[in-house]
Amino acid sequence: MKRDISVTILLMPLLILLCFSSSVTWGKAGPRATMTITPQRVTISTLYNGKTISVQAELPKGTEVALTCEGPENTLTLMRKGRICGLWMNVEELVFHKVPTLYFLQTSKKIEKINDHDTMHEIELGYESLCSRAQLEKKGEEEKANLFNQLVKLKESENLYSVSEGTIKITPAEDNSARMTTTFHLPPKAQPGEYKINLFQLNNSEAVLLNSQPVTVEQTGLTTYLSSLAINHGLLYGFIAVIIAIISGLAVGILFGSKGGH
Amino acid sequence: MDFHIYLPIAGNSVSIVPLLGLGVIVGFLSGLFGVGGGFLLTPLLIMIGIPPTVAAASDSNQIVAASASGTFAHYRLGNVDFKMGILLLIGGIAGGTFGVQLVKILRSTGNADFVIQITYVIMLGLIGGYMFLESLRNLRQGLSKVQNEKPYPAKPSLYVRIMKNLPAKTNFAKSKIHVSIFLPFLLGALVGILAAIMGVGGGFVMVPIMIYLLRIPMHVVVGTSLFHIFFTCVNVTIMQSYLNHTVDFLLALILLIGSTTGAQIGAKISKRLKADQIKILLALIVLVVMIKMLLGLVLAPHILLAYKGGH
Repeated sequence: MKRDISVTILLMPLLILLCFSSSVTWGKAGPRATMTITPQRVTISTLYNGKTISVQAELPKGTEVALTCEGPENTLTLMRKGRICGLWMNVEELVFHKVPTLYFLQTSKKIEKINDHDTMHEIELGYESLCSRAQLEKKGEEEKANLFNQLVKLKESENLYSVSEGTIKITPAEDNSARMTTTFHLPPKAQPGEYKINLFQLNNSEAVLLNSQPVTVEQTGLTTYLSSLAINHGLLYGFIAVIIAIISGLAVGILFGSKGGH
Repeated sequence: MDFHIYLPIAGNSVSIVPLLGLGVIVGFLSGLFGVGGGFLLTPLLIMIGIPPTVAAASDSNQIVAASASGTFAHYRLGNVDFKMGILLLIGGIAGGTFGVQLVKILRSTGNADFVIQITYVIMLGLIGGYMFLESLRNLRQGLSKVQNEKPYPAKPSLYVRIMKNLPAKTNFAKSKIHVSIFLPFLLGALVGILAAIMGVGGGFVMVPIMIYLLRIPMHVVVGTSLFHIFFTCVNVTIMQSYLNHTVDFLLALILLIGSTTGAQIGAKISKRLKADQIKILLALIVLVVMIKMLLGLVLAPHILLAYKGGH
């Protein structure tokens, strides 16, 4: 008996160490996964045409995952089209609040294949969860849902929103773990700001956050200079734009005139 | 090779080659017909992903270059009536200021978009239809040359009688007309009001007014209209930069490289065409734009929401 107690006392520091190392890997509140995003900083220069972001993660074997990329939330003023005397035109101004500028969702399997009764809404992912978070001035919940659906169509047409189920690849790795890889293209229309990349584990009826990291998108060089000039010194910017336009117009005119014009 | 350039104010990247091509086409139309081309270019820019407000404002900036190039080309050809152009411009500024207030009143009643779009379609339909039929008739009968030489029809209409009785008459040598200085001022004001309501420069309204109501020879119409558009767009570019920060200079720069060249080619070709040939081509373009707008109004849109801004 005494021997058993002494063995337990001897093993105690080892057990504490194991628990501590486990909490570093998988987190106190739930499971964790290591995630690597490349690149984590995207610079918008003159020849920028969007950027492909690559995400890799180490997961426990058998885990199904979802990955979201979300842009900063902002307020959006839109015009609703309606029919007046048989003609389609803008009939109403709508102001949405708390709408992410960009939203991509990828999953490792189709949601219904992970759990028969789960939907995107139930596990708080996808467009329905965005709609729940968004606010629309002067409208009820039912109308908000219909209009948000149109907003999603508008954003999808600009490649700023997308949901792709079953696109994340998971391959088995050593030590009862698995490796997850995926890429997504940040379109050139993605505004500068901080984007959140969230990796979720899809369980029976919930999405558990495994890891979250930011990707920063910022303007550099000439683009920063022109933006700053346009916003902070609008009048000067306007005059410069006009003068350059006049000089260009006249220069081409002289060039054509000297080439044997009338 | 597909070169892209990032436009900092538009917040999007665009392929350079199609944009240059678009500039050449619009500049060509500008030099040929004396129109700014905003009514054509702005919707095309929106189609390639430029926000509506940035498309309209940057378009004005490139029209400054194209109209400077076109005005210069027409000045060398002796086609610009500066006196007429300045009077039309003063009237245009007065009319534009009044028109902006009118739009504010319409917006407060909530009917602005309906009025704007209906006005647009009706104006385009009337102008395009009339120009097309009249030019077609002249081309068939070979009357083009005869009519251009005649300042007024044989039997004076009410409009001609009013025109003749207006005070402060002066001679417009280039335009070969002798009319009151109030007439170009009033017609310029009318175009200014329409341009403010419709949200475009008004070149395609100004050109028919100069042809049919001021009876100016076609080649002088094109040059003088470009001179008028130049000043209008200088004003719009500076005001949009100052108040709304919506002018994307890089976008305008790529467009103007194409449009200034296109304007020169257009100006040279305009000299080789008969007046009625130019008129009938312009009428066709105006009618195509009108039909496109009408279809946009009649057919149900795929998405029932749009970003606020543009025209």
